[in-house]
Amino acid sequence: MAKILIVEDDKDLINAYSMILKSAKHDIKEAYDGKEALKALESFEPELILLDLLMPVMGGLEFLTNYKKMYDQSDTKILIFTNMENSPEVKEALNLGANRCIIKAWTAPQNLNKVITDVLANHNVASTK
Amino acid sequence: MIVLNNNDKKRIRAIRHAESEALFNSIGDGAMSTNEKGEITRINDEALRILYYTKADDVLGRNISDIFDLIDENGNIIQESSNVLSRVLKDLETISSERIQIKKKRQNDPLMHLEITASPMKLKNQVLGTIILFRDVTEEHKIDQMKDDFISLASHQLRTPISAISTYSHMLVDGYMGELTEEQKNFIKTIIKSSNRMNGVISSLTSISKLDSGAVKFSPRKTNINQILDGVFHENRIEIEERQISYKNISDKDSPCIIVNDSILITEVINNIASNAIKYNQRGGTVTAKATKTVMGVTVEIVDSGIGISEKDQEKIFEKFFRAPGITKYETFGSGLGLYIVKGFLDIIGGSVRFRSIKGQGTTFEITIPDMSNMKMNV
Repeated sequence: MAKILIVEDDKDLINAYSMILKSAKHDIKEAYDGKEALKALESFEPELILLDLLMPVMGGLEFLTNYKKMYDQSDTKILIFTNMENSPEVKEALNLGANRCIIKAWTAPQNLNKVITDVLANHNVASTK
Repeated sequence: MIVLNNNDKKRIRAIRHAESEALFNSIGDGAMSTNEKGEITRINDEALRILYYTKADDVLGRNISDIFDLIDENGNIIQESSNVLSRVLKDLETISSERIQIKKKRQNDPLMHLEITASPMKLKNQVLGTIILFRDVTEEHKIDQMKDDFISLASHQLRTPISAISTYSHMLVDGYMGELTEEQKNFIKTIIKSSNRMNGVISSLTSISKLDSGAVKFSPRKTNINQILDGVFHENRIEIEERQISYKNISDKDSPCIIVNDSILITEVINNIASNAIKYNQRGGTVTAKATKTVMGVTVEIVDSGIGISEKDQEKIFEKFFRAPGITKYETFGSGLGLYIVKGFLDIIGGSVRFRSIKGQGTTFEITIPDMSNMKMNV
């Protein structure tokens, strides 16, 4: 279906999201922080990046800033996937060009797949739980 | 009739002046007055201390804009024509306990946060100047910032394990590790419900903390209200199934409600109302939701066939921690914060809420959300 890069430092969660998205037939690559994600992008061109914000080494905002500088013409969608609800970091990420934000703790597998489908189809104009 | 001679009048004026000086200098906060051009005409010792001046002569006659700049949250200077002091002088607005950030124009002076109250001085229709009272809240601002950072971090750290509990539980119910019996699914749904409750508590506490400290930031952007409505009720589906609630979204799908406003705050508002519509409903009851585009923005209506709110309780439901007497027999878990948060967030986004309810029959909430693109906001 779509090539998706998952950027998430929690190994339990990244395993779960990988399983969920692979079962929906997406082609998945995993990265545990922003620095790994930038490295992964050298050989993997995703249609969507599922991006956590609070990560060690390089967090989501720093990744996003670097990503936009390096790939400013890219059509890749950025879906912020965080537990920081209504925080300045989320709003900053949306200002930096992320397409949408969803809260991990509130997002069931079915809803994750649905949101990804919406964002890829460009139906997204909102950020929600 | 008492007739005053010139000496008497002079003496009375001198007394009034002495009283006024004593009053001005005894005000505990910083105080200054300006003329209609913003030039400082009077300043007390506390104001001099806050602004790091030792002598009144160093500031008297100078324009406020020569003493300090007003700074926005990004560290940029706010233009004189649109800053808070010009609202007082030019728009004749009175401002009360408003927090501002300033940077003094002398080199190496740090940024400060002040809490100011200011009002115009008028004589009949003529503007004479302003009176400004202020206090240094820089330390309080730092503490508020640290508190917000701590709450954000704590809520994030609590939510991370909850995410794992919720995600893996959902995956089990959805059959990712093979088909489960109905009984097994029900066990796991109990885990999901409990993790949702923990999430709810964390959300409420985080929102309340930010609301009460004035730290909720308004960030308008293009927002699809229909998507938010769908998302909110989808996330509440386990409760809906368990209570056998019949839910319907009767919005006109051909007329999407897309406006400019803060989607994150709107989601929180709708989620709180929707959650109440489900929780305080009869088993097998109904909930309908409808989003309608209006000239000014969007109206969202959520109607339930639930327990309703007595007339006596209706004026209190937006109060912090209010729970109607006897409510625990329907829902033991509830913080009494949901509608307080709804009201607080709606105030921030320029929206409003009203409701009608009959005890034992149900409640209709109507939320009005303005479209900020009508107000030429930049997003």
